[in-house]
Amino acid sequence: MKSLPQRVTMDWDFWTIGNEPWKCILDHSVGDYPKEACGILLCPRARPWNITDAYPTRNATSEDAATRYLVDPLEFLQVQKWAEQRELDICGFYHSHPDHPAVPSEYDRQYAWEGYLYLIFSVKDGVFEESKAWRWDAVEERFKEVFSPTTI
Amino acid sequence: MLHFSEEQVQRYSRHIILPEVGVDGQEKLLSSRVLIAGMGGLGSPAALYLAAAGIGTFGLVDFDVVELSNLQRQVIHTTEDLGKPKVKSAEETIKAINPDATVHQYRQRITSETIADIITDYDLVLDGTDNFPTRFLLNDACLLTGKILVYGAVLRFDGQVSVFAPNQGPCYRCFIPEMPPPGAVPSCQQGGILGVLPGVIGILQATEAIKLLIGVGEPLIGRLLLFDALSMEINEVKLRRDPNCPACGERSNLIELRDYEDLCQLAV
Repeated sequence: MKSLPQRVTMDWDFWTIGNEPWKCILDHSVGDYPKEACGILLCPRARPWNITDAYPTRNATSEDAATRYLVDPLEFLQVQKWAEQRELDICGFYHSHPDHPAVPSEYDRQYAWEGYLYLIFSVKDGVFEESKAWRWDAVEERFKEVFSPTTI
Repeated sequence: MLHFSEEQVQRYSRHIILPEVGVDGQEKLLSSRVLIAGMGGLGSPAALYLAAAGIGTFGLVDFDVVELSNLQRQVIHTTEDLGKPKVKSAEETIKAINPDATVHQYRQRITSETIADIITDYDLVLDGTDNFPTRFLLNDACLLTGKILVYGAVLRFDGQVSVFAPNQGPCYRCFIPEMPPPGAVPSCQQGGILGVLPGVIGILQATEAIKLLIGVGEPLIGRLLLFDALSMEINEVKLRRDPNCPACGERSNLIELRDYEDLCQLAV
């Protein structure tokens, strides 16, 4: 299943995102409600924790799109080429959870790849509720939440 | 050249016998001026150990007063200090540790109008603040005044430390170019923190400050130290100066300071 090359290894446990990709993901997630929206997250090579671009993709799942998502593999390859031309790397994926919390589902766990950031947007009744970022820990076989650096 | 009193020789004896510190290094510490922005979780332990180390002059910036929920981690303040301005409480503790220290209190918010003038009087700045707008402003001010910024951040069980030295390495904006949008980070009221964690990170910041002031070791310029308290793992990430950085990059138009919007507050 995990046959596509991993370009970025996530050795850090934090992330940041710019306003533009954030808005892009937000609009896509809300716009596709009640279906799951999905897309690809891109980061500069020198700053792989910093999401500078979000690329909305088609939800290519053959199952119920309200509860499943699949990033179209062809689009993935196209985005990879697009990213290379701009010295960006694919650093993760986003998808939305219509009427569900921003917590990875069992399906998300089955198809997780180590080394990527997974950003989940929860959309309830067509309105953005919350977002959380996760990374897959292959040793512990579970998702771990990833936070933006701040201080309390 | 400073002349140590007998008490100072005794007080700093463990420093003086270290070849990397010695009399010269201790003199440098006694002559140093350190500004600590924020007397909360990070500023507290940093100030304690910098006072013990013999830093001669402190500038303490914080507009807030001591609250009960602070005491879980802001160890420079005690129960008796509840309701007291943090800068006042901190000064008292610093001077209890080291009566020779001079302390200047700045009981105010860090704003574009005042911060550059304050920073100018100090050798380096230790970032103990707790929000992105202030960090961005502090970064800008340090770039404009050429001051080194010792960075620290914590959330839940994770901490980070780095040193941002103008013209020597990346700045904070090379690392985090934009403020996270509302919803991308836990709201200020929702975030939790393991109490000891800012203790670890604040002391690492103090360590970096001392190394920089004495001129020993390798400071974390261009390096981000990541500490995970749950796994007790320490990792390091290389930070590079970004030629497109909005603050220190080639096309940066940073010539004066401005206040940044507090998106966290807007989200609340």
